[in-house]
Amino acid sequence: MTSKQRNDNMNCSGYSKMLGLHAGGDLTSADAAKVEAHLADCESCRAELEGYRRMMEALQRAGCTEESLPAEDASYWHDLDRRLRGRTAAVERLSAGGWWFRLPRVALQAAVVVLVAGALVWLGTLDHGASPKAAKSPQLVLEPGHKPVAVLVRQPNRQAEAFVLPLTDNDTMYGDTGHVVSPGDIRRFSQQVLPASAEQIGASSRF
Amino acid sequence: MTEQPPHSEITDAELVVRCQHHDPAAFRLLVERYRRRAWKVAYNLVGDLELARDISQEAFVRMIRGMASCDPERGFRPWFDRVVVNLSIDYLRKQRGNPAVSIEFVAEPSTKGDDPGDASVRDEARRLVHKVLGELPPRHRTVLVMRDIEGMECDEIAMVLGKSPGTVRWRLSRARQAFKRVWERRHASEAQ
Repeated sequence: MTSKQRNDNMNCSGYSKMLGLHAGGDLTSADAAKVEAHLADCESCRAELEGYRRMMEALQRAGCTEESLPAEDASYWHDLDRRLRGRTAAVERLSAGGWWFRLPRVALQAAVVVLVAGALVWLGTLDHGASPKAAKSPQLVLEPGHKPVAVLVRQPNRQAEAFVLPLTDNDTMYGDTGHVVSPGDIRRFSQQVLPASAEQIGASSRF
Repeated sequence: MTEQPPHSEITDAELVVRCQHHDPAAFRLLVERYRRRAWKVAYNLVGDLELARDISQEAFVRMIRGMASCDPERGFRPWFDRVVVNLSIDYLRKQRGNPAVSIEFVAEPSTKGDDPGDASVRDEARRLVHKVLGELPPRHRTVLVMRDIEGMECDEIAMVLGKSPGTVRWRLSRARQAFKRVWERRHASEAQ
């Protein structure tokens, strides 16, 4: 049986499946013509097509338009900014390449972090034998325009070694100027990537 | 679909190229231009204002990460729509099996001379449509929203969903049948 013969012999059930597409003008012109020819002789299919048209009108009216959305305030940009910064830090930590925001600022950050790390490694070597409490007093006060981006840590049995840990943005760390970041805060941030035994020996916010 | 974008003298293609060269001002303009559209499309798909706003923001984050793959010649909007729609579909798939999908209804702003009674009837009809959409599986809901609410062409939907136009038409046909079945049943039960 050819396609034409099959269409010619199609009953209401077959045409009924095409009516939804026909109502929206989504059939090819050839198929649309066949459906129209059938509709001329079939009252039940005409009624069904009318039902589809009513339904589609209801759908078209039901859509939300840009005008009917609530007005936005400045928090949209603030939220987006936080989301972008958080993602940037996470991407940096994973050393993922090719990301947009990490070019000049991140290069500068990395250079300063390496310098600070070097200085602290050197200081750690000089302090060998001194009271461990003197080396770890990680208080950090956020200043306007600055946020902590790195914490320097040392493992107990490797006294002269320092790690540089980039911090991600977080509700606690990012936001309130003047908030004192405690060692507990920093431990909470670092626990996912640091050995539990690592101790913090410094922090920097001025990158 | 015909909104005049902010700073319309600069084309999307120009902004995309500038973004690809790390121009923050271009990124900001693209956000200004498309944030309400992204919010609207996501809302029509997921039916929750706050979540849709969240999806729109996530879409801009994804936009930056994937900007290198956007071909300015092929148009930014379909490319960005794909990001928004895929994020919304991800959400709908996670919600699958949860029958209590709440649809937060956004009423149309009233217009001058509008009869409050007519507006109420229209709002009720819209509420019913959203209820029915909430009962459909994500693959049906997605094509219905894109074709019948957003007014996108099947070829455009195919490009956004990464399917063939034939598959989109077949899915649209099934989706309209499913919607009509539930819509008429609900209509009848509410009329009683």
